[in-house]
Amino acid sequence: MHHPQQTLSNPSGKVRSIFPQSLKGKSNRFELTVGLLFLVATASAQAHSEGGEAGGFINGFTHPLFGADHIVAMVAVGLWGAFLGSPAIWLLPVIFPTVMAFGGALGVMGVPLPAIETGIALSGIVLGLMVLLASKPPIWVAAVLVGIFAIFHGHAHGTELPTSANPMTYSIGFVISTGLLHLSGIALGLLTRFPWGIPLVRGCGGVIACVGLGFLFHWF
Amino acid sequence: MIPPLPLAHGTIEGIGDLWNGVLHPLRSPVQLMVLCALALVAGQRTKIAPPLIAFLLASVGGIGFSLLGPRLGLPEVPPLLPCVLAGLAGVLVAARIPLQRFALLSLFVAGGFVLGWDSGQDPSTPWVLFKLLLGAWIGLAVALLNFANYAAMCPKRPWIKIGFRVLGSWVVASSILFLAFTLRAARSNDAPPQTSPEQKG
Repeated sequence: MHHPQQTLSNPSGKVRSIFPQSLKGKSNRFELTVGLLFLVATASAQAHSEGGEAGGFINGFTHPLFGADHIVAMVAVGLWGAFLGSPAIWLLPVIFPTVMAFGGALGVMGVPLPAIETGIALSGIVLGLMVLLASKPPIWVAAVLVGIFAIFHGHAHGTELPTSANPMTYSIGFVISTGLLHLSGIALGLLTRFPWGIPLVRGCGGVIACVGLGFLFHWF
Repeated sequence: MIPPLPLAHGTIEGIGDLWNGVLHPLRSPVQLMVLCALALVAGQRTKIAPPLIAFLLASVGGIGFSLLGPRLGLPEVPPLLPCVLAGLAGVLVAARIPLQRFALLSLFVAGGFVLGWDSGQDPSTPWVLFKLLLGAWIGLAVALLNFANYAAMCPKRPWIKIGFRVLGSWVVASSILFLAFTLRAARSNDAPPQTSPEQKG
């Protein structure tokens, strides 16, 4: 029976890997890894002008990344969630963006909220302390705490929307950026599986609390 | 009446009317959000075919409505409608709320109709209009079928289920913000024009 891969140089018709038999089991994974590396190692096309949807998305995506007070609080949410375990590990990163959007809506609508910067600074302090002290309150307490701080962060993002940005893609950008910061916090928090990971994660909580203190007292 | 946000985009030069239509759902953030949310809902079901078929058939109806609506004096699609649908689907995904068959099909019929309705175009000739709308339907179909298939193909592991919940929350958050932007635009349109002191004098 004629095999579709049969040729004069390959009469058996079998598709051979470029790797020897000793690596046969690992060749598929290696080829896949190399392929993925080539995909991600492509040079970024930087000869472009930011405008329209792309400009709005980039503005929104980078907005949380330009504020250390935002970064530490969002990483702390992921850290604390990983520390608390299930269901907090998914509940907190789900609650934060959703409630943050409410805060953002308040900011967009021009509804004033007092002491925004203080609330943001406090979020770093409180969430950092929760991780430092390995605090494990009831899940509803953690959810309410995270929700309260999310309103402050969202309000800040909503009021700082650049007038030239596409609002829809801006909001999608900063929601995704926030979520990715949570995921990085969760990834860091999963180090608690190792014995040396627990003091490391708690130390990160201490650093976050110190950064929050720095913003509260305007050291930065 | 809440006016739509000025999010309309022009056609891409050089790729033809059909391809402009195909890319239309991908170039509209709101439509993309609805498609992602519905795909996540469908991907968590064991049988994904019925809701997808319902969506595709309803989208034909929506496209037809977008053609007839202006001639019958009917309004354009309200901007809040796709936003509400996306938010609803996002809540279902984030909270992993199982829907009964009728409710699920209703959601997808509503989504298909609204996105088809939102795909209306203002072309120069009927032939161009046909190509744009056909392309838009193809774009909606390809996007939803692919997204839903990929979501269904994901292994049923705990961290993937968590990831779906997180994606659902992102859709809800984006919908809330879009709602706020739309209401702000409506409020600024309703505000009376401010007159300068020279005009008052």
